[in-house]
Amino acid sequence: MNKVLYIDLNRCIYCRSCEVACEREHDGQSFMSVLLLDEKQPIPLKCHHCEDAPCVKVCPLGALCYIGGNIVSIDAAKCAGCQLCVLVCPFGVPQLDPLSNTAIKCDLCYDRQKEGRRPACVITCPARALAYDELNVLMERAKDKPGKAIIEGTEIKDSGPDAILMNQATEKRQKVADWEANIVPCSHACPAEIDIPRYVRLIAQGRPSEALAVIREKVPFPGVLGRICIHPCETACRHSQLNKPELTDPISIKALKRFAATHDDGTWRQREKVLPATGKRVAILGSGPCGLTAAFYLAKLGHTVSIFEALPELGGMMRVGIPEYRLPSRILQAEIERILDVGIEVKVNTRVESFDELFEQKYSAIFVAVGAHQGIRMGIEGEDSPGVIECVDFLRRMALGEAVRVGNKVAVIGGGNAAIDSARTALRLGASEVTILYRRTQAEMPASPEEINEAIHEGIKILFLVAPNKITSRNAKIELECMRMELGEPDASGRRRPVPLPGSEFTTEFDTVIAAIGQSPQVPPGFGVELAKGNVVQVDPETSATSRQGVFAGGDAVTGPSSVIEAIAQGRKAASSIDKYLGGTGIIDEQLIPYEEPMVWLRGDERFVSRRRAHPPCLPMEERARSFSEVELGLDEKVAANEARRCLRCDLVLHLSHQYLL
Amino acid sequence: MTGLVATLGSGAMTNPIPDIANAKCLFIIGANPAEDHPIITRWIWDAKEHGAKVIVADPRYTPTAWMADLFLKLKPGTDIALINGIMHLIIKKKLYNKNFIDKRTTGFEQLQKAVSKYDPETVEKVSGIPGHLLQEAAGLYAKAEASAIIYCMGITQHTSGHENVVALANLALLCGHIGRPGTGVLPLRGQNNVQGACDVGALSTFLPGYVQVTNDEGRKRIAREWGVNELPGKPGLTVVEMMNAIGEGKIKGMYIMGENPVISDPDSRHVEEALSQIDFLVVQDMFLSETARLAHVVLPVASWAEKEGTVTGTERRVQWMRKAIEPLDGTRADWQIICEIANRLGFSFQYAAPEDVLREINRVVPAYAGITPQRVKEQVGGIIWPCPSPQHPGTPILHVERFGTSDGLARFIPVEYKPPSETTSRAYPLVLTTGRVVMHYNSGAMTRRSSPLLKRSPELFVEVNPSDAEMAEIKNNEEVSVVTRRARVTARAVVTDKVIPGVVFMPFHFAGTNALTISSLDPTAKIPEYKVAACRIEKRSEK
Repeated sequence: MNKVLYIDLNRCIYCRSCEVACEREHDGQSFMSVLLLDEKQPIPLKCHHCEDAPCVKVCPLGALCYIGGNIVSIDAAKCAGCQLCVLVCPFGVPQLDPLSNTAIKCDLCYDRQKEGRRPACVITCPARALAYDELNVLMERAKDKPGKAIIEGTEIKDSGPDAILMNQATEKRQKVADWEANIVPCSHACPAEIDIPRYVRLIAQGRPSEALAVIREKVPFPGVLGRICIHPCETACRHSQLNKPELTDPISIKALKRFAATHDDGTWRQREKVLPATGKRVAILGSGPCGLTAAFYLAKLGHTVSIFEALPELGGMMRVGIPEYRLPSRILQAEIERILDVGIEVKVNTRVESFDELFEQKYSAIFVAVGAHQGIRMGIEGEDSPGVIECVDFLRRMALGEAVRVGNKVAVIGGGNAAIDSARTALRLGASEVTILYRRTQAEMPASPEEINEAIHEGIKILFLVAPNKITSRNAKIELECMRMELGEPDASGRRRPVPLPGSEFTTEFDTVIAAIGQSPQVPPGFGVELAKGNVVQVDPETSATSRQGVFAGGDAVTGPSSVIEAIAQGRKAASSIDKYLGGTGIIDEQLIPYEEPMVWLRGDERFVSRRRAHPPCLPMEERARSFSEVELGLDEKVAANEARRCLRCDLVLHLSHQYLL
Repeated sequence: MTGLVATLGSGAMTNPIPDIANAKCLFIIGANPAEDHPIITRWIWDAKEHGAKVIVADPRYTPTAWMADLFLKLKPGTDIALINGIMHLIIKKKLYNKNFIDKRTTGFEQLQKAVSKYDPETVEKVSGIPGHLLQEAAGLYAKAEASAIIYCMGITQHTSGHENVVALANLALLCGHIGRPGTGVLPLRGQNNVQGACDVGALSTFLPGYVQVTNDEGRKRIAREWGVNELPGKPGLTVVEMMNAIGEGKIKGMYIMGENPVISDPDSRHVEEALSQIDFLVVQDMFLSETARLAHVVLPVASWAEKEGTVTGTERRVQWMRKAIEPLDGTRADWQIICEIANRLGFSFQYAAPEDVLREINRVVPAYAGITPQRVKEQVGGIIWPCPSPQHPGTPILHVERFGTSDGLARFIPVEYKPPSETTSRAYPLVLTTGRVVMHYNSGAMTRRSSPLLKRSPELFVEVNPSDAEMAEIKNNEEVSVVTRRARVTARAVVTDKVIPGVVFMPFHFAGTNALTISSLDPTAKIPEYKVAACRIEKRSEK
């Protein structure tokens, strides 16, 4: 029969000999700790060696297992240091050993037991407060000590010493900043809080249309995001913490999103709800990701929504800022149409400059989501010369099908995604040499690393620590005088400020210069709202309300140029806030597929350690030249399923411990 | 020890440790077994599980006090008032054991007279213990079928240490709680062989077997055994007296073995000065301790794991200790070093092995006569002395039929409360009491070198009651100065109501505590008053 550990709380005298004995036995690591919670009651904190232990269930690699019948033990060779066991234990028992980066915990001195000796702590206790024996023997002993004896391995109780220890562990966790974020880092990093582990799991199970429904519970642009999202989730993915370098690549969450988006069989639409008309009218200025998302949710809540868009096409920067080879317009168009299906009025080619009219037309609320479409001037001599074009303008005209030309030698000034987009577009228009000039180094470039890599792959040159000084027009060519920079003290953004090196001027000849140094919103004074630094609209961060009654704002108009996912998240927040303003509940959450208990059968996968991150196939270089065909392609079914199986399933921690965490 | 000799005729613990489980009442005073003798607590718990009631008396609410059914938080140095007060109530309520007193003691009338003035109001004024708690203590101790008294340095380390012990013996005799299982007077001695060292005469007034050096006949017998003409017939100096004598120029050389007086002697600055100035100092130790650093010659000794021989613990139990490894290069067992020196001084110490030394003890010390090497090695749990012959099983419980006095009767010796040698004043308004913590052992020479122990108790601290802390404007965890007439020492303040207002506590395992303590001695036992000194606490000034 199995033996279990017994702790008699009455007899403990807080001498901590057990801690010291454990430490000596394990070369400096102690798995026993005695807490003194008030001046009279010490409680030894020790692994309970639970039946059906949460730590064993949560381990993705099967490193945690039972030995000797009922002793929970960690096989260090299998442990990849993900720390899910550390997070799930209600008592906070497993620890991460900083030297080996594996988890460690009490194994009841199993090696000593094999030699017929008892655990070190038990033998050392002077007061005989610890015992290690068969369960029935110990139950007999515990009989007349109700609540004052702990027998490990029996169920965890929600009262008495177990409760005290769990409270202690909870308090300790809550002192660590953002500890909840530490449990499911991907969902926490996503501005729209998409339930990533759930949709990844559904893909692993071969149910991509249900995965799509999970995504659509939070965002209406799965295909768009699956192509161009900046994926903060991947950066946060727990894989980066693993102790085996071949396992540290994050899950390809973005690519999996795209995969799910290609399996739309209408499942998600079956449970979509549109509430009865409220009779309230809402005007939305701007049809980018922020405006469209807000419109979508407000319309579903029953309001009468009208979108006012200054350009001839809907989509905002998704339509006119991101080139076709990254985001085909038909994909965007299809998703916009799904949104409009709910019943939204659209007025294109309509620029709104003041709100008085709108309020007269009985709009109860106005949402400003005009984005940031004004290119920032470089502020150098000659910047209005012919051949010098502004990038937002350039990309918009490309997107709307206008005729655009560039010369052979093209320079792009700037380091963001807009600069890269301009450079790669220029290449496809036939430029033979495209150079990006950036005033800091690659480490500080705000553009996505993938974009930078693709640009270099395509043959675009990048000059770092270079900034333009003066532009002179000569014989239909542009002479661009630049200065070399060095990095000095950090500026407001925390990045080191570039400082010109005196006497380093040099001039290069170009046919076209594209200025892509940044964008800001254009907010007409007729809006009557207070602005903040950078010409952005100032809002209450909780409610998205501006300084003017009934007027709300979100997206790049508020944050400055940011990302599509951030804009979508802003749209959700604004929709909820506007609904409350109009007398509603503000609840925009919905369930598009029934909730399922996560199964733990994908645990302990032997093949886990052999899986590597899937990279989506890309169009070969020859086919890219002068073509605006989509460069990055999607994952196929088998690859997607395998990729999804790489997920550590951090959400299981919440599921397994919710019954215990108080 | 002297106190028990005077009353009971024998200085040692009267009942063995496991016998504690048989008691129905345990009176623990001036002792903190939960921290200082943790293994003993297993029998205290066993006693409690069988219905025993536990009384604990201490100026601090120690982990031992967690075990108490009745806790008496008394002012330091007022033990006699408390004990006499309890006896006063026992006599008043006629709870004493008349039968036992008549048959086995003398001097009851003098005791009765002496304790008559220790009424509860007087006792409360002196000790701070309210009358109703005294009543309860008296009732519990006297009425239980078998009561045992457990005491330790909290009782002995006072200028009235001898009398404190006498008072406890009086109490035990008053109720007849002696000479039977579950009873007794139980001093908890610390080192595993301090009892053994005393038994073989490592004391300034005794030869082996507690033969007084002034006893001519006994001295002659032992001189014969040892093959010498004579042995000194006058008592020598005790520890504190020795240090004073160096200062007076009367002692020129000293040989210190396994002791670290720079840390553990009271008024240790004085000690450090003396040992720094002495003409010749030899220190025999395992580590280069604070005292060893002052020596002219250091003799490196092997540790307990590398030596063999018997040890005699507080309960008079003699056990054979086996070594686990051979001594490291350059170190030797103490007995070997002593023999080497003795032989170079012209004696003939011919012992091939520790067994030979034990055989000599068998011949010289009657109580050890039957504890032969073979017997003690074979007997699990060793043999408890007196064991006068090789067939004798040993004597777990003393005073079963006779006491160790000449007439076999125990003596009541009345004692009076007197204040400690250094009382508080305006400049030194707090009482400093000292003691041990669970993580360290004595001078810390071994324990401060062990990282799991040191990290759990890394530095010198001083426990201060919140009201005293407020008056001195100090906060928990602040570094403060503790000042006595003898020194100023830095310590980490621990603000807690474990100590009563007016009392602060410091552990002596770290350098500094004993620089503060006073070396006043009990006139009979010559033990220093570690437990009471006058001090004040100050904020450390910014430098």
